Amino acid sequence: MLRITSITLHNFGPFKETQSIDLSKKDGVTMIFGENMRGKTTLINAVRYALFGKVLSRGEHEMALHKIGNWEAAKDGEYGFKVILEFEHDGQNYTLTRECKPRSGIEEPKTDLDYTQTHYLKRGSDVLSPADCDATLSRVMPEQVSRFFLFDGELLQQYEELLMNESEMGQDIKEAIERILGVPVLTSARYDMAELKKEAEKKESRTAQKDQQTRELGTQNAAQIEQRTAHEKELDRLKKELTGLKTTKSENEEMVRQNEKTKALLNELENLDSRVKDIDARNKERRERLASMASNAWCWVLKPALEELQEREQKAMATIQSNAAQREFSARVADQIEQALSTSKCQVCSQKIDTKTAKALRAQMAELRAPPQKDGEASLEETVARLKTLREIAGNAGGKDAAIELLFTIEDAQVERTQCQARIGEIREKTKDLDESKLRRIMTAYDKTVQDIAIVDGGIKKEQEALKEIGENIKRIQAELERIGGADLAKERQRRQLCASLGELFDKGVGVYRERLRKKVEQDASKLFLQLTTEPDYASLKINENYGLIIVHKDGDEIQVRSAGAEHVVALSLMGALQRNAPLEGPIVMDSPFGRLDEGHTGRIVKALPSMAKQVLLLVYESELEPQFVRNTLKGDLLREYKIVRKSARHSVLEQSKG
Amino acid sequence: MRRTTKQSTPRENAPAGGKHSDLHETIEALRKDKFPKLPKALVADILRIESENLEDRHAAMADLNEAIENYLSKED
Amino acid sequence: MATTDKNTIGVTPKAQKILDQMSEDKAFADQMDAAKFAMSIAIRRGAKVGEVNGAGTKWNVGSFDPNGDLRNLLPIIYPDLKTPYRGLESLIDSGLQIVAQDYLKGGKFDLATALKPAEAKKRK
Repeated sequence: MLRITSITLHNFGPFKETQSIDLSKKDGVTMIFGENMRGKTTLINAVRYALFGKVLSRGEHEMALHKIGNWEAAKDGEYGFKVILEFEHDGQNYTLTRECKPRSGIEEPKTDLDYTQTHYLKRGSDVLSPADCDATLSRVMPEQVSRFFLFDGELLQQYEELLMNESEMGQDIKEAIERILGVPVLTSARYDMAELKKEAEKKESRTAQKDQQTRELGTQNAAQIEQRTAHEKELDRLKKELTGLKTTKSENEEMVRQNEKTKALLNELENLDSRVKDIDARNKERRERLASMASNAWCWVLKPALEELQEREQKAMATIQSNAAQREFSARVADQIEQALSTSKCQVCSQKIDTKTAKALRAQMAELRAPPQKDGEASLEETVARLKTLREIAGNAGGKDAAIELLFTIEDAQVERTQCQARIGEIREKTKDLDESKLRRIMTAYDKTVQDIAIVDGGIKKEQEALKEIGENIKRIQAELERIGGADLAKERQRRQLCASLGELFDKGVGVYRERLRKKVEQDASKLFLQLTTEPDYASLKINENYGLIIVHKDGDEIQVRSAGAEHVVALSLMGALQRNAPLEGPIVMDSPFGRLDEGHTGRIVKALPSMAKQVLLLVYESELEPQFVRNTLKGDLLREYKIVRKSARHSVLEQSKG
Repeated sequence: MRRTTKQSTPRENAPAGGKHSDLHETIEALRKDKFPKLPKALVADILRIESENLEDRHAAMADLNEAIENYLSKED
Repeated sequence: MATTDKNTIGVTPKAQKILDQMSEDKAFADQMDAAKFAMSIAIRRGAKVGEVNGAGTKWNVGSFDPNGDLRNLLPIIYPDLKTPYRGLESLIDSGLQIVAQDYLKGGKFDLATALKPAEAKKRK
């Protein structure tokens, strides 16, 4: 197990001059408190730098080394920096020194090129050779797995990639996990045995060719092996090509998805343009129809008035007719009176008319014959003519409702047009920077990638079939050689068969070991998760092929969506489980992992720290984690406490608070 | 270039503690069950060589060849 | 009022502008129809007939009123009207002013409201 015993920094980041942290050799937790921008992340980077010669900034980008040296020291003309890491591993004490200093002759270094880097490793008092130094370091802490030992909240967030099958980062992390769990030992063994078996086969062929009895078979075998090598090479090439194409495809898929969205927008735009044109055409036709109908619009407006006037004229006509009838009657009566007077005898009863009666009748006759008072009275002809005019005009007053309906239809269509135009405007804004030809190129390239994948897939199948056939041929030849071959051949055959069996053992072993590991990691991660989570309804964690962990509710359902805080808790559970199951053991150095977590979770994690790894170095700021709380929670497991104290904006100092 | 420390300090090149035995245990159980004719010691040796030489493939192959050769010579 | 009727009728320049706005949307096939419509609006509003000064000579009465419907109708509505075409000209002018006041919204002629104010209001 790797155990850090001290970290010494010289002009590294804000740590001016030489400063050290000594860590206890006992199992437990060391706390380092420091406000933001005081140097907590720098400390974790110091360990990283010592081990791998790299410093990472936010987003895991490698920082330029010339920016790392202490600024105040640089102002005093002192450039460069150094880190000395003292550690124990497998009972041995090591001192690793890594330094970055200006090249000789450079007084004011400005870029990385102005610096030179050196490092060396001492075991005890002996300095190791450069090759042994690198081999030891890569064994003690391979860079690929450093993420499980040196991390911050941002790195913890990346573990959700393990839940995504096609994610490149997820694949990288999966490989790192398998590395730390020891799976590469088996995959390398499997590969090496396959190579040794091939060598043994070649040797078997050569031995067969030396004997006349088996020469022919030996030559055939050699030829088959050569063909097989060629096909394997081709298969390998195709598989790599396929991987590359799939990566390209998945990279382009996002662009294609955007493209599909854009295409959908453009389709919508086309449809809207077409709709607007249609509305315009129809409304034009409607307006023309309306205009032709509207030549009678004045009649529609006057229709109520016309109806009133018609009624009036009809009444007038009735009055005229009634008056005329009255006058006719009066005339007839006057005629009868006249006739009676002329005969002095009533025409009806034949009675004689006396003088008095005759006088009265004469007066009545005069009244009846008096000329009618027609002043102001229109003539019947005039009235009839007026009625005719009114009726004719009223006859044109139909169609008003249809015209209004048409108007409303035009209005509605205009509203729809306005809405379409608004949407057209939106889409045009969204697509204003669109390069349609570029989109077409992306789609064409994507389609070609899909086609190429199919072709390469086909090629792979062909190669696999060819290899299968060759494999059968080789088996047949080997069986024949076994039957007729001598002692030399038997030895080569034994070697071949041994390598083949060993290869099969390790091949099966990979699957069995992976499965066993996954189960154990799942079990240990679940146990730890239940210690860390505050949610009582969570039952366990479930692991997928990529070591991604899914939270399982007590009712058996998987929790598909989780917060950044939950992600951290799951990731920490995975870390702890890996520490328990990995052949490689080392310290956990955590930089402000509680940012997204509430008090409940923070408290539980602090309590669980001693069980997560034998050596834990926790870098936090006080409002993230209250020092007294830590002391009360960890008690004897809290070994040492440090504080990063500000001297100036560019100068921090490490002070031990407890130890 | 072959490492020179291998012969002098084999202990430091051994994989870390008990957890690595998980791997050995798994393979040994599998060997006993499915490949009983394979020699236990050779299998253990191969695992050791692989774990020590993950970064140095050339050294790994050389050591593996040697281990197999030694076994086969003993069998003769 | 003059005793001889007109053979050509027209609109004032101001009224012509209103006619032009009414015609923009092409609600009417031509400005004659728009003018007749304006006349009917004036009649509906109870406008009195009078004289229009400055009306041009836009239309020949024979083209404006080919069947003589207006010549016959206006004296029915206005019994004292002896010169129907002069009356027509005046009603057109009054009608256009009402249109400008009530039915031109943002320069656009609102035919629906002009035709049927009750329905148009209900829709809104």
